[in-house]
Amino acid sequence: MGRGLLMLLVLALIGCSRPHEREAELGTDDTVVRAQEPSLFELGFPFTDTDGRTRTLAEFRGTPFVASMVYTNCTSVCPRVTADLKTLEKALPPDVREHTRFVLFSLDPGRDTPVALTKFAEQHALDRSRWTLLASSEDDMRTLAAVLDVKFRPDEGGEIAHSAVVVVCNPDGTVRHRQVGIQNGVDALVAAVREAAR
Amino acid sequence: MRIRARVGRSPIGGPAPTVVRLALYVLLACTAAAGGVGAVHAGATNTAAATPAAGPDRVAIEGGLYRPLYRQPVKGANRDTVLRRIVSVTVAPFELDRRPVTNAQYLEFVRTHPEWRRSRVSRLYADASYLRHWHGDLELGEQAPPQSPVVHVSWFAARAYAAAHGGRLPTVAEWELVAAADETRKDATRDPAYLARLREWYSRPATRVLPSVGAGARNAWGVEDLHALVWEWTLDFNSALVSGESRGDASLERSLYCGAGASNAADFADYAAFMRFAFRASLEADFTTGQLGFRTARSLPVAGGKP
Repeated sequence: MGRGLLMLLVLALIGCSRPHEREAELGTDDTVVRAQEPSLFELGFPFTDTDGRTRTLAEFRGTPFVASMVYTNCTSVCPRVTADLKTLEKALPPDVREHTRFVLFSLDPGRDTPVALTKFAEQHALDRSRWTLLASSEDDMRTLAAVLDVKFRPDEGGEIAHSAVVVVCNPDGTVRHRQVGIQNGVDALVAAVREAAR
Repeated sequence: MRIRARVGRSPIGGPAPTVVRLALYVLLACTAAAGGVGAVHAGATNTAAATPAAGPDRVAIEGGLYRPLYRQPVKGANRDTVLRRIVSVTVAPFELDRRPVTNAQYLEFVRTHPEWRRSRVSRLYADASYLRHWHGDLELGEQAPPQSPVVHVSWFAARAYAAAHGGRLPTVAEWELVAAADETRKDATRDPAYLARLREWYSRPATRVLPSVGAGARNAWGVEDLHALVWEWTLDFNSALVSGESRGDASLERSLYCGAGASNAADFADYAAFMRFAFRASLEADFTTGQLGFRTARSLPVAGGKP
């Protein structure tokens, strides 16, 4: 079996990535109804925010929210994801923007203390009335990453290689839209948030 | 229904030739974003409070160096260079279950943890095939012999079981370190004869009902059933990151991955290890399949160092 063929199959593995699909059942009028879609609010473990206060995910019930997993010592993709989410924030109609929340979860709770998170928020000029930065325990971070299907691997030298995942959630905490990787533009995210806000 | 649910592949694959099996794994992988290399420092997340005694069911592993299959990008002396090196991972001493968790053991777990029974489990934590081979919430039935490894369990479920028993899942590095052994040598992976045996095991047809654990030989660590029975969940299965680039240069597929990021395969001689890597890269944490089970591990205190 040649290396070439194996590499081809590996490339095919990459090419096959698509948003994670939950089980769906067909309704009588041919619309696809998402059955048994679980909510992120089932995750009951606590987080610490930039002020050191204890928070839970359930606090975000009632409004659409957009979330990603980043870490403050990241030098490549995380700043780009944050910038894209700010672009998304600006692109939303004012009435939708007012009710949308942005949540960044830390992949590196050991180093992402409230001070580090505060600094990150300041560096990126995040509007704290809409943005929340949260860190959990290492174990709970692993659970969250698994739920959001974020791949990650701490490397030598303190970097954490990870996939860039953005989720748009409905007010009930179910995931409406999931994006992997940096895309050109935020149109799909805008559309998803507007749908979630209905 | 996901395609992967229909592919009843076991690590003792099938009689189909290599190409077809790999193609099937491509199908398996099609529901996941692919990833890069998985070698995470061991012993990070032990939830055990007390120091357990290693009994007949658990083996103390003194640790060692795990040499991953894949190269990591490592910055060269010149900031513009990205070299590709195999970075060995130091595996700290830990304990590993001698055998995979059985149906009988898992039954006891769901008796005392009703939230993990088939009819009650949250879809956040397990898909619709969870424990499908059991007869009922608390009945095994003929497709789930008590001493066979439990399968159709998700990563979340496996983790919950481990935590309930004062342990955790083993990391990829820990599991692979121990799996490198044959009956007499702790690392047999340089021996072409051993690799050939592994390929033969991995190509045996899957059985509809899994055999009991403990039927095979112990390896040099004293651990059983790492090969040829079931795939096994690991704590950091989602550390498998595969590059979109097949070139070994500094142009990485940065849009998907952070940091020095993606890696590519160094060596396909250990075919079984590559298959395991590809399989892990295809998994998501809520998945359950008929050939995927688990065993638990525990960190051991390291003198003078981080636990």
